[in-house]
Amino acid sequence: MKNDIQNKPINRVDGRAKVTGAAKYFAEIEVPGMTHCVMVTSTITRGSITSIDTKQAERAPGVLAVLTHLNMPAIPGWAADNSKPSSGGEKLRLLGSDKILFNGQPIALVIADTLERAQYAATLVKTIYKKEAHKTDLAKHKTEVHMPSRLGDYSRGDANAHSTAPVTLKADYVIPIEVHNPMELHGVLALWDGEDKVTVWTKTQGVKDTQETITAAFKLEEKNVQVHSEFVGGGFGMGLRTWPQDIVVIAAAKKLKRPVKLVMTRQQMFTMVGYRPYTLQHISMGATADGKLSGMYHEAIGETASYEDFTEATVRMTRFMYACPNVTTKYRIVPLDRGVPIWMRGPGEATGAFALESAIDEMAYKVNMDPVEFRILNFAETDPERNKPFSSNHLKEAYQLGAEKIGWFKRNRQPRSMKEGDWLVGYGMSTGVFGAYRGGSTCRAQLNGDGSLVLQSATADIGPGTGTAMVQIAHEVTGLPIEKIRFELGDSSLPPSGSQGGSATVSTVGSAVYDVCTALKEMMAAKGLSFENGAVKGNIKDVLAADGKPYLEVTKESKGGAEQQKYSMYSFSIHFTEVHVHPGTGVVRVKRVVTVADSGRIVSPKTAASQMIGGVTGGIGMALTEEAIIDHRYGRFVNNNLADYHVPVSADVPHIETIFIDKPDPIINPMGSKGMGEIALIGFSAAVANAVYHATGKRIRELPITPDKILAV
Amino acid sequence: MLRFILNNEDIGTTLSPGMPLLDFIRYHQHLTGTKAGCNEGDCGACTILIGDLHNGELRYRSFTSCLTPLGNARGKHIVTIEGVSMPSLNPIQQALIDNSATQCGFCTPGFVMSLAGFCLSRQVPKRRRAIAAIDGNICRCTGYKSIEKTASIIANFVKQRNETDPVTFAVEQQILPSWFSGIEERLKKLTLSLNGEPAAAGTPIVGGGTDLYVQKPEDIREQSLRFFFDDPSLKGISRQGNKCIFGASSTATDLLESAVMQEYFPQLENYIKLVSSTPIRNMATIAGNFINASPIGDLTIFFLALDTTLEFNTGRILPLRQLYKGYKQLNKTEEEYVCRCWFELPDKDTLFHFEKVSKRTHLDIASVNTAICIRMQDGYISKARISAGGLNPVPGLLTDTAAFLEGQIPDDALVQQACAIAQKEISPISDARGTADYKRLLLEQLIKAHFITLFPSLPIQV
Repeated sequence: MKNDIQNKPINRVDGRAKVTGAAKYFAEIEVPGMTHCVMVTSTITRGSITSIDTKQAERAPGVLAVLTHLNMPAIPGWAADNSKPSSGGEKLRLLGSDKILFNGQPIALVIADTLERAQYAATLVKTIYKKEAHKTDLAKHKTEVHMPSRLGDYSRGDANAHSTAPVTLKADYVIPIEVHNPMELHGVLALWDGEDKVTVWTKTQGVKDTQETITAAFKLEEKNVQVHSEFVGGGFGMGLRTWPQDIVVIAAAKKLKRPVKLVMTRQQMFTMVGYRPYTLQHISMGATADGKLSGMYHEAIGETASYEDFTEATVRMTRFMYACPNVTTKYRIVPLDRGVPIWMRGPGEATGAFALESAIDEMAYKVNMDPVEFRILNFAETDPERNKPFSSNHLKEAYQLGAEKIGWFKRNRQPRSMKEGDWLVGYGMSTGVFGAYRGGSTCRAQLNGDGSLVLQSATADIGPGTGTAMVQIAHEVTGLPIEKIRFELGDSSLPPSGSQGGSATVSTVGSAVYDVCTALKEMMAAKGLSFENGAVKGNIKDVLAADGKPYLEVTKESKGGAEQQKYSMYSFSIHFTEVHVHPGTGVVRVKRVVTVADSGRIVSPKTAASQMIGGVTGGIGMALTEEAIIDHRYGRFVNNNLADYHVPVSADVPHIETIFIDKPDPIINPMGSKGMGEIALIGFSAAVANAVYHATGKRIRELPITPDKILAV
Repeated sequence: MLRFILNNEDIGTTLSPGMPLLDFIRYHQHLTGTKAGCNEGDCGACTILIGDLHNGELRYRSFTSCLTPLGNARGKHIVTIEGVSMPSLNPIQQALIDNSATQCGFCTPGFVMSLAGFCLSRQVPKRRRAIAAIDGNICRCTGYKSIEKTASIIANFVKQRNETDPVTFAVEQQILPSWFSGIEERLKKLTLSLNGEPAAAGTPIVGGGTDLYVQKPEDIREQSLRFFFDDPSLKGISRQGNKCIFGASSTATDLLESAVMQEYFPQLENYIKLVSSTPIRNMATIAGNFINASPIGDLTIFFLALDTTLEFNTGRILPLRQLYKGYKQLNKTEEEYVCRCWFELPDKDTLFHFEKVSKRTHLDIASVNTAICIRMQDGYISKARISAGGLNPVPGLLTDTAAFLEGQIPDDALVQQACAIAQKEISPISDARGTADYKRLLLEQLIKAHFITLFPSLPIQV
């Protein structure tokens, strides 16, 4: 496969719209006759509604409707879905029954002519509940496990090798609930045209996925459901599904025959749009005295909702990351009275890597080896889980590059041996990994008479810079200048693409852009046209006039082939960090970060660097500050706001150096690029924990690493 | 009629003055560049600038519009992202793009406005201050490092202004549109035409709004309110004899910029930067912090150690230390409000220090905070006051600890004993900000930090 993608840095193509405030996110869309919806949510955690008094709210000025389970129209597609969660519990049917399945569950929609009036009227709804005992504490209910429908048990070799080896290690790890908290609040605006046609503006990572969900829920024809989501103010996974409240708001708009807009509150962002689940992990590891891994056992128990199974690949990394002959993994879920989780940046792997990469560090110390050398000694040349070659794997080079850059081998390996002023100094590192995917995507190219090129695909940009990368790829294939190329996305009427998730957008959609531009060149050649020196050569206007068309158009579907079965494809990251720990107060500061990405060819260097730095910053939050805390007596959050749920602020973030291996993967796609969004974060929390150990001599196995844990005896 | 200038437009509105300014901007003026991210002043996506005439001089500060009552816009210049955007990008916007400092872009207008606020500040422009200007803005994607690069570039750019007036410089350099040059005159005219609305006694009081709009936005939006933020009789920080007198509506930023405070508290900037964020410091009033009665109010702890005295509208005078009767219970009647406050300025023998530990470096509520004020006489501690927050249901003084210190010569043993006594004066609970044990330990460490800072030569065991 010819590889002619060059990686010259260009500025973000939508930068101007964003720095001037002109970019329109869904909440900024206004349509004539628009009404506003505010959700009333349950204050109990499990039970049922005895009575709900909406009279006062209905009589409040400007109120058009108050919808509860008593007067909510049925959602036709929901009735048809008979799937059951593993617990055998009932499905969540928002406003479909009197049942309360989690704290903060919407129980009424208040719709008024203005937002203020809807907000006021929502305070007038009075509810009486019948409470039942609830379960929200995973640690307390960890034995009530269910076998998930996917990602079940795995074993190779001797299942006991981990505990019979000469050197053994057993350790338990905890990660708390983490919440995506994108800056933009979630919501939806629905506009019906009659009974069978609807247009929706929303915050989604996949307009086609949202279109499909709405089509199914209301039993409509796909062409009659249009979804728009051009600008998305961050997602990190929470936009990977169309949430039940979106559907009931769309239903409300249909019933009222008026457009309805819902913008959720920050508090509701903690309960209704998913989270990274609280997870308990146990690792047992065995090695020979000279540092060869001989057995690993990795078990994870994650929380899910009573009404739906949520699963993620928490233990998968342990199966293939290291050359270990005997590996057993086990993954279980516990249904609780909570909203359902959703994938969050580095889903599963970020949780699992904290445990695995902490344990690997610990084992390296046990066998008296440097953690980098220990990893290199146990490097897997081929994928030991699937017995296939890696499509590309430059980990060894990445270890060396990162180690040199941060001065790894100059440190004193002895824990609690380094100081700077009053502060203890520690170095830590870890590995991150995530599958390198390529899905299916279709892209349309339109070459205009003025030599400008429009590319269209129903993908998303939640922040990484999809349009920028696509324009860059088209620029490199066609030679047209950046300003002459426009990429359109976030509209379900465009040619189909998958959701923006799993770090796969550049690989998936970029391949379609590459293929459609290549096909365009072929079409042009047949008409005596070509690209030369950044412009169209030949008389395109005559060609268009002869064809009677406004532009030359070609649409191309693009997807991977047999190579996906022959190879194991992964993106890798190596994180090195230096932390300072204050022995008096237990405060940890991340002082320096070097992150190396082996993610194939870098298509767009500026946006790629932003992704890496951003992911590491998310990793700092995961390691040190982020934790959504439930008061289990009531089953509700105590810190469901941005003052108390601590995402990092600029002062928490040191200089982050990113190094790209920047070698094309010869297999995965025509650009040779692998994903980057997830690996930027995966493993980083372990690097911090390992650095804290090096600084203090203390292993913290429960995130976040707060001062009280460091100082606890 | 509530009158003010919004960007380049004269506004006259009869809408409820209790409405959050953000709602007015977004829903009534349809200026949607200002984003709603939390409606609690935590995220900075709704940051705007507010310009007003301060001693006849136009002064801009950043505000979170979600917590600003429309009533506080009266007679002022409100600037949104649309107001700083021109046909060609301004240097802040261009630098953000060039440094790849915008990702999903949702927080970006807020960052632009915070940096514009830095450009218009009359403080000496420094890189450190440009970066401090974004301390109230959260970016989740997160481009902080790229945004800081932008801040450095802007700081260097603004350094060229030398003695030029900030607005004049910003217009000359196309940081702001040219119509900004006329704002000062327009505001002067507007001020003359303002008719203050008489506030009915007994209606709720709003100062900066930073707590009220978090606690009960639905309740106050349509209510009749008394707006105290700009009441000239409640403003001003001055010295009278050995006392510092400040109006109840003075803000944390007013403190920071006060010549008296800067003279008597050389470390003031280091203390104040630990308090919330730039926009909240521009908005939150000091008396609001006292009356909020949070067990952990930073400024309350600061002023408790200075034994601040309060004067109510009724003429009643009360030491701050006697204001708190119990958790969120105040020694004041419904009709009483604080008018002014005073404390004795530290003389050359008096030492003061403030410490705060929070989970996040900035923009956070303290786990524990404490301040100390001690007077030295011939090497002895003649008078001591230590305040502490986050350890009891009310913010208060550690009186036994202070009494123990008085008459003693500071040394390691004394500090260790003082720490032990302090432990008996507190009853912390375990919560989201730390375990009870950790808070006990923090107090001990922070008392030691006080002495290490105030007596650098003392060998204190930590």
